Amino acid sequence: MSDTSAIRTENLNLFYGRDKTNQALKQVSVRFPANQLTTIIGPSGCGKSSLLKSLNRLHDLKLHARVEGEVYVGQDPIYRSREPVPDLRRRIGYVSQKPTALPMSIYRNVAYGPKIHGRPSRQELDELVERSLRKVNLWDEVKDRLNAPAADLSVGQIQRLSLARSLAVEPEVVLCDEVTSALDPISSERVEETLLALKQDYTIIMVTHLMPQVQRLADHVVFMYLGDALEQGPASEVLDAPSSERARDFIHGHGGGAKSPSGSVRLASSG
Amino acid sequence: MNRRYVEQYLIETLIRLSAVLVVGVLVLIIGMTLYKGGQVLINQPSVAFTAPGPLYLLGGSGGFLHAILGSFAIVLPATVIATVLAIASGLYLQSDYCSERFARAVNVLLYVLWGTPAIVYGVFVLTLLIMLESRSSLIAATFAVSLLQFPIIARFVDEALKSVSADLKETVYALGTTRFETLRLLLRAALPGVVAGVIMGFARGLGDGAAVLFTAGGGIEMPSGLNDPATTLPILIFQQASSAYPSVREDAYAAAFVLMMLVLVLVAFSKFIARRFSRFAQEDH
Ligand SMILES: Nc1ncnc2c1ncn2[C@@H]1O[C@H](COP(=O)(O)OP(=O)(O)OP(=O)(O)O)[C@@H](O)[C@H]1O
Ligand SMILES: [Mg+2]
Repeated sequence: MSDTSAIRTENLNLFYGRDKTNQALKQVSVRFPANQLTTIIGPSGCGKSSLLKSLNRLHDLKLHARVEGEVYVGQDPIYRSREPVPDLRRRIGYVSQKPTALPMSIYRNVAYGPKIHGRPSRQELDELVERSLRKVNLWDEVKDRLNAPAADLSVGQIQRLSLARSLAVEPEVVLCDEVTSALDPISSERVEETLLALKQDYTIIMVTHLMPQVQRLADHVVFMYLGDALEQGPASEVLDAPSSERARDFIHGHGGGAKSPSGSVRLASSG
Repeated sequence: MNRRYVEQYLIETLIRLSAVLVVGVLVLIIGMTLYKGGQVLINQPSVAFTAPGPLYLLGGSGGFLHAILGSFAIVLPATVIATVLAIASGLYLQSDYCSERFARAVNVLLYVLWGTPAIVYGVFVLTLLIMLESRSSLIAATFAVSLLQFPIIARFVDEALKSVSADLKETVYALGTTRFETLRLLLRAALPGVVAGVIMGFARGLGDGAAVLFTAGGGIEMPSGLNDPATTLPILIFQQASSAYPSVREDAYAAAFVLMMLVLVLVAFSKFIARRFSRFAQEDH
């Protein structure tokens, strides 16, 4: 069972733009082990989100994006598979970098996916919604206003709601793109706990800018640079002894400055 | 004084003046209609509720209920038809079924259609009627009015769908939805804009005379069937205003009053609906 949800890419290329001039992924061949938490790190604009989206065929939606190469989920080459793409996307959950509320109530945001994929009873749905919201530490804040528009929530709340919504369809793989970027340390910790707990049954791939988070969570690390996957391997190896100079600079930072982008934001706003 | 402040002062004065001018004219038109029309309606409210006698336009007895009913009988179905077509085409243009280039070309055409004088639609439908050896009727006018409304509503639907963020689309697809399920959700997110478009189209159809002029028949009978002639309020107002009888000319204000109120109620209603639906729309953080 363990290998059915391992993901690997083979010579993955991704081009944006009408005349495919803008290459965002260059011959990326990486492996994401099953039931482990892999973090993708790298400087802004290096292709982390692009890589994540190619793993559940979200680029198919864009007119001007082209994917070449292979992505295997287990033994299944998803770009050539006969499985309908919606089924694939249900199996491979994705939480986007930008917190997004569906134009409906908080409750229905979480219930939307399960309702599309099955006919859960009202009671099952209620339980599922509560369980999903608890997993992301949002239940207590919203339990009294489940029917309020989700758009009224704060950015950090919508971020947690987005994660809960993806978890509610019970995917096998969870792709998360900077899901704690707008969260306070406590909510962040709660989401991290959830991800760690999910690891038992799921394969988790997360993009993050926070090196301490990588240190806490990652079993496996992929380091991207300008569309190349420069390094990959078990977290201990990549973090402690990166083989390339780029990765070394990024991971250890120049005087720790690159470690936390939020730190530099704070500096800028107070200065 | 500093040149920049003089500049600012001049521009501000100009802006104020033009605002006064525009609002002044509006107040004059609306105020006059409401005042004169209100007077007629207060003295004789029955004009709005009784059918016209055979000699109504020649100063005879009766009211103009036929035109009020005709307006609704023509414009309501026309709006429904135009809305259904506009939503279908809007969804198609914004969906993943259609190339961006094609969508852009169609949108240019829609703008051209929007700017086309209503009389052209009227003449177009009239030409069709002559070809088909048919005659002016309620249904022909409905067709002409929906032609007039379609580009307006379609542009609104398209813009509303376009303004739905790409992130929302991605988020929905990522949950494993089909294209159809995604479209339904996007339409829901775009609903405030769609409603605004429908109301715009409805108001335009209600207020327009030219598209109906040659196509509806324009008698003074009550509308009696799809293939029988009918009249709308703008046509009636034109007939009343050009009448030789002062009492009939006075009635034109009453008809205008009714038309204005209808549009006003519509706009208020649309604001209400739009507010209800936009409750769920995410603002940009
Ligand atoms: N829709 C798009 N159209 C064209 N170019 C794009 C598009 N999305 C991303 N790119 C380009 O692809 C490259 C990689 O973008 P990507 O979003 O994957 O970066 P990222 O590593 O996630 O950055 P960040 O950490 O800032 O989120 C960038 O150069 C970006 O400009
Ligand atoms: Mg990104």
